[in-house]
Amino acid sequence: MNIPRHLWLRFIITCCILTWVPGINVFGVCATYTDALEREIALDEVPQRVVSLVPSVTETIYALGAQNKLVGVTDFCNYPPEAESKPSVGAYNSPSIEAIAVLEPDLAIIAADMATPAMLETLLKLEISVYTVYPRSISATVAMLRNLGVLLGYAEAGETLALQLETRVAQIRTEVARSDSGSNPRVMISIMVEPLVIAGTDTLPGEMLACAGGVNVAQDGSRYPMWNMETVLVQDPDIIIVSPHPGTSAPENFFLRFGQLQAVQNDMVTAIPADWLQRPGPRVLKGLNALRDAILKIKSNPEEQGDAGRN
Amino acid sequence: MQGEIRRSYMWLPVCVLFLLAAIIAGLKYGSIPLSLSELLNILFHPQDAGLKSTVVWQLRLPRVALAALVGMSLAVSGSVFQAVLRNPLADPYLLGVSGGAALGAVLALTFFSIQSYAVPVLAFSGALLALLLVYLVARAHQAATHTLILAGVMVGSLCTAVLMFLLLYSPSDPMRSALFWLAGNLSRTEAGWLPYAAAACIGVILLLWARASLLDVFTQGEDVAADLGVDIGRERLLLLAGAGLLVAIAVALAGLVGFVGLVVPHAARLLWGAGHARLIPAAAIAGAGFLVAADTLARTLLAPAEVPVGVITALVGAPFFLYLLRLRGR
Repeated sequence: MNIPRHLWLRFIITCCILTWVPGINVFGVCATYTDALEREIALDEVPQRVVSLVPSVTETIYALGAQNKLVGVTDFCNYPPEAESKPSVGAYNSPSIEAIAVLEPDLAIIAADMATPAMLETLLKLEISVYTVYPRSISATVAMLRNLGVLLGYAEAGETLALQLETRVAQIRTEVARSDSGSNPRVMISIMVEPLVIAGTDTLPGEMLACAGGVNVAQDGSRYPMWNMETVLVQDPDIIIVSPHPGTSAPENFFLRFGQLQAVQNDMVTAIPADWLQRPGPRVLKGLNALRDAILKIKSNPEEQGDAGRN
Repeated sequence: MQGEIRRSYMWLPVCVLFLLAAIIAGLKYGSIPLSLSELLNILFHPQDAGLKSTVVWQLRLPRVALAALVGMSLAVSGSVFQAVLRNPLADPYLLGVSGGAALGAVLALTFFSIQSYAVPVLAFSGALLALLLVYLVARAHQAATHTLILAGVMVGSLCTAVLMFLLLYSPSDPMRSALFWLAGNLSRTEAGWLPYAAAACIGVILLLWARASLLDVFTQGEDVAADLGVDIGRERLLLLAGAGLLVAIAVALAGLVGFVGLVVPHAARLLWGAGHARLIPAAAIAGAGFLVAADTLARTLLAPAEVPVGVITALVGAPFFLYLLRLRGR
């Protein structure tokens, strides 16, 4: 059989082109991604049925506008409210593999600290690709917004979300760098009040606080130290941020009993929803703005920020 | 020295000194260390404002009082349970009380906030309901002590199962509060409740003390008690109800503080003998001192973080108890 040389050439070139054009499925693989566990994930097409086992990922998927691909969420995925009407596969920390399998997803997105080897293996046996996320900083959150956009075929929307957050962070950083750092207020972020858990510096809320120009009073290096009230009285922060969860009663009352606290005297016990501070998703932007507002409020009233009564 | 402490008449001075030392340490140590003279100055000038005064009057004093009250109640009820059930492993939580209280508290946390009054109220009710259930079941079977204990363990298991189920379905924050509360938590001081609780506890303790000779008879066995003409059913109901009330109050105030009710009565018995006329007050004072000391350690050991007080009571109490056992062995 005699095939002209130019035909061979043509065939090879066509194959090369087809392999490189995304979305055209010649050799079975369309794209590979690397996830938070450094796993290589090869997807032969853009995922169409996604189960999100992470509340912040659920939020991000809605923010991207990709919610029609979302077929399953967890009991903890409470934002946006529409997410609660999606089928649930159980709790964030103990999802039901059966409930996931029933939804026949092609992709499950899991928090890296929840992805046990056994769970990964089970899901892969069910032919469900697994992508893990583990954002614990602002930059990792920005990266996650971008990555999920690309992964789900909403790269542009992801880029927009990421840029929004990046731009605001840069803007606040410039503002903070210009202002007198000596007047930065001392801030305590209370994650919960009973027990009294404080956000340390090496946490997402801690990083957001530093970015917004506040000095964290929890400087001992642990991530979420548990304090007693005595320590709060000694530290006497200028601002106390409490972070109520949806549906829980006002945690600020816990501190209002102590009238000698600077923050109480200056009416600077401020509530910022927990999910704005602790969920590494698009609403980090809201949390950042709320922190910045609280800090600007106290900076605009410098006489309130006296050192009187502090030892 | 050991011989001195173990003389029977020494119980009162030893216990009182221990309690006093614990109270002073509890008021003195914390995130802000105070010298003894500063402390006395603050205590004698309660009208002074200022950080240190606030810390002593608003934080440390209520907490020390709470620890003393809870320790006292648990130690006395432990003594009574051990005598009535004639079981050295009996502790205040044996008869399902802990499970009932925990279930009540977690129900409260699921439906209300931890800052509401629902937690202590439901914990108290849960504890008493569990005890009542155990008693009703056991009395129906003509009440051998092991029936009572088995019924208690079963009611406790049932409560724990329901509790696990509830925890599984509650969001992470209430769950964490619940677990923290279940580990024993003396930082919740509803100062307004303390005097009433204290009056109730001390009243019950005095009533139980008045029945010391009856408790001695129970220790001999129920057949002995019956031979002596004691109405066992009625007396046991009264004793268990009193001890149960003490535990329920303690649990409502501070969650499940472990180990105090088991070990303090044994320690007092090993040191000063099993007579309840002496054992009840000794356990009360030593229990108060023990929990105040343990809580002080819990607050200061890893300051500013707090160690759950139950960890300290077991960590300090278990070796001390083993030492006492060895002493007795000689």
